[in-house]
Amino acid sequence: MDKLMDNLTEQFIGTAKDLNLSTEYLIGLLGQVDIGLFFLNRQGIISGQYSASLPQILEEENLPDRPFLDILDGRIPDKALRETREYLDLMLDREHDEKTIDELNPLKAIEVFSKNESGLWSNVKNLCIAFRRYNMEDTNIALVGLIRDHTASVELAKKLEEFEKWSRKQMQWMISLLHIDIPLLKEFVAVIEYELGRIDLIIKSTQKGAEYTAIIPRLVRSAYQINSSAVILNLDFFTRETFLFKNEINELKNLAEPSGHDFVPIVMRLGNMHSMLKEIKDLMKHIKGLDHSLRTTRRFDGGLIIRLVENLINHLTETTGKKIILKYHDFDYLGIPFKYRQIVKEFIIALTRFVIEFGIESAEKRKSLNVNPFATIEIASELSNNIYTIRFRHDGNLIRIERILQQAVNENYKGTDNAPVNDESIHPGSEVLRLFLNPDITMLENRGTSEGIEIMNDFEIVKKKLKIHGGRIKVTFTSESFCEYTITFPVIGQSEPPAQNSQ
Amino acid sequence: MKETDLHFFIDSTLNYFDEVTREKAQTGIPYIKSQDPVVLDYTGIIGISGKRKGSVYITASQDMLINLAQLILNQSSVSNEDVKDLIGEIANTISGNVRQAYGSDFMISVPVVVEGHAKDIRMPDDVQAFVIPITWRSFQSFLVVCLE
Repeated sequence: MDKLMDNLTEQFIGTAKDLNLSTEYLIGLLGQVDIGLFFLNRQGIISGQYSASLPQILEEENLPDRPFLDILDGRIPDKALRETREYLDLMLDREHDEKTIDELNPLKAIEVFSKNESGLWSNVKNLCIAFRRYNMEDTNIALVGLIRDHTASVELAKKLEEFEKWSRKQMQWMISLLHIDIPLLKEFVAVIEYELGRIDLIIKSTQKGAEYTAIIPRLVRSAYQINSSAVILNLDFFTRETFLFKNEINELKNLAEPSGHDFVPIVMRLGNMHSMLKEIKDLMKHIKGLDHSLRTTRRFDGGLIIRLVENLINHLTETTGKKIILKYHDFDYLGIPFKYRQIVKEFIIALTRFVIEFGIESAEKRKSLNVNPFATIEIASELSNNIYTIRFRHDGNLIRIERILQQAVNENYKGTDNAPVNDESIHPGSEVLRLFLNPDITMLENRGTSEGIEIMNDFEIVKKKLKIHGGRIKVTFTSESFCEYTITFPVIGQSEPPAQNSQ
Repeated sequence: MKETDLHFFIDSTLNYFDEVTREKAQTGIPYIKSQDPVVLDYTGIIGISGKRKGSVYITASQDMLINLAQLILNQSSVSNEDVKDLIGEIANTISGNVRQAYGSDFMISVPVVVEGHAKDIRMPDDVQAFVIPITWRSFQSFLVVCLE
C-alpha cells in the first residue's frame, strides 16, 4: 500500500511537473504569436490564458473571466452581435457540423470600434474572428478563438478601389477639358464659381418663409447662367448636373408656398456642383502652362468665338430638332478691336440662342414650306469709314415681323420708359428691334419657357453693354428670306458717338 | 449623402418638437456648411458608422433650451444640468430614429454634449456637411448633418 502511495505520489509529482512545464510552454507560446488566440468555456467566457497580442488587438485590458460577447457589445452593430450569439450557441452544440455552421459566422470580416474616455469613437479595426471546437467535454476550454487584424490590408484595398474609380473619372474629365481652350476654361470656372457663390449667399441669407418665393427668379437666373456656360463648352459631365439643377429650380416655381423642405433637392445638387467644380480646378492645375497664360495671343483667340457658336448650335439643334448651317467666311474676329471682343462674343451668343429658339423653324416645318430644311446663320464683319460692323443674319421665318407688329398693336404696346417710341433719332427698324429685344413682350413670355425669358434677359444685358461701349444695333431685312442684325462700333481712338444716334 | 437622408433628419427633428412640445418648429432652407463655424451655446453630437460613416449634431442657444426645458419639465426654473440633459436627449432622439430608419447595420455612438460656445465642431474635410436651420418659437437652432 505504502509502495502504491509512493508510486502514485511520484507519478503525481511527475505529472504536475509536466503540467507546469506544459503550462510554461503554453504561456511562452502564447507570448510569441502575433494573432489573438484565446479560449472560451461553454458559457462563452474568456479563460485566463490568451496570446499577448489579444488585448492590443481588441483594445481591452481586462479580459480574463469576461464574456466574449460583452467585449463586443457597443462596438459592433447590434445585428452582428445578435448573429454572433446565435452562431456561438450553434458551435457549442455538437449536433451541428462545424464546417457547415462556419458560414454563419458574422465575425469573419467585421469592423470593431473603440471608444475613448469621452465616449467618442477613437478607432476602428477590421478584424477576422474565427472559432474552432476544442474539447466539448472540457468545461474550461470548449472553443478556441483566433483573431487576425486585417485593418492595414483592408484600408489599402479600399484606398486602391477608390483611387481606381477616381482615376477613371479624372481621365474622362481630363479628356473633356483638354479640348477646351484655356481662356474659355478659365472664364467658365470664374463664372461657375461666381454663380455658385451667389446661390449660396442667397440661400443662406433667406431664412424667412415669406422670402422663399422672392428668391426663386434669382436662383433661376444663376442656374441658367451656369447651364449656358457648361453647354457652350460642351462639358457633358457638367451639363448633366446643371440641367437637373435647372429643372429642380423650375419645379419650385410651381409651388404656391415653398417650404425649406422643398429646397432640399436644389441644395443637394448644389453640393454636387461644388464638388465637381473643385475637381475641375484640381485638374486644371495639371494642365501645363495654364497659370502662365493669363493673356493669349491674338492668333489663338481667332477661332474661339466660332467654336463657341458651333458648340452652341450643335447643342441647341440636338434639343430642338432644328438643322442649321453656320457660315462665317466673312467674319474676322481678329479684326475686332480688342476692347469690343467680349461684347461682340456676348452679342453673337445671345443672338444665336434667340434666333434658334424663336426665329428658325424645325427641319420638318421648313420642308413643308418648300424651303431648305437646313437653315442658315451667317456671321460677317467689316471695317470701313472708322466704323466696325458685325452682321448676323438668318433665314428663319418663325416670327414674322408683320405678325409681331400686329400683335403689339392689338395689345396696345406702348414701348418702355427708356426707349421712347416716338424718338426721331431712332433709325428704321428700331421699332422692331425693341419688340425683339424687350423682355416685356408678352407674346414671348406666353411661349411658356423660362429659357425664353432668360434669353430675353440676356439681350437686355447685352443691349445695355452695347450702349456703354457706344455701339449701335439695328435690324434690317435684306429679302423675304433673310433677317439681319447689325451692330456697329466706332474704331478705337474715335470719340463717343453722337448722343442722338445712340441705341 | 442622398436627398432622402436630409429629408429624414429634418423630419426627425421636426417630429421631436411636435411630439414633445405640441408646438411646430419650422426649418429654413438647408445650406452647405462652409468654413464658418455653426455652433451655439450647447451642442449634442452623435457619430454614425458602419455601412456609411458620418456625424450629426444639434446646436442650440441657452435661451431656447431653457424655454424648452421649462415647457417639458413644467417648471419655471431649470438648472444647467437640465439644459445639458435636454440637448443630449434631443441628440439621443435623433440617433434613435437613425437606428430605426437605417437598420442595425449602422453603428450609432452615444451622444456627446459640448457645453459652451465652442470655436467650431470640425467635420471630415472629404464629406460635405449640410446645415438645417430650425426655428422653434422665435429661437433658432441648427442641425448639422455630415454623412457619406
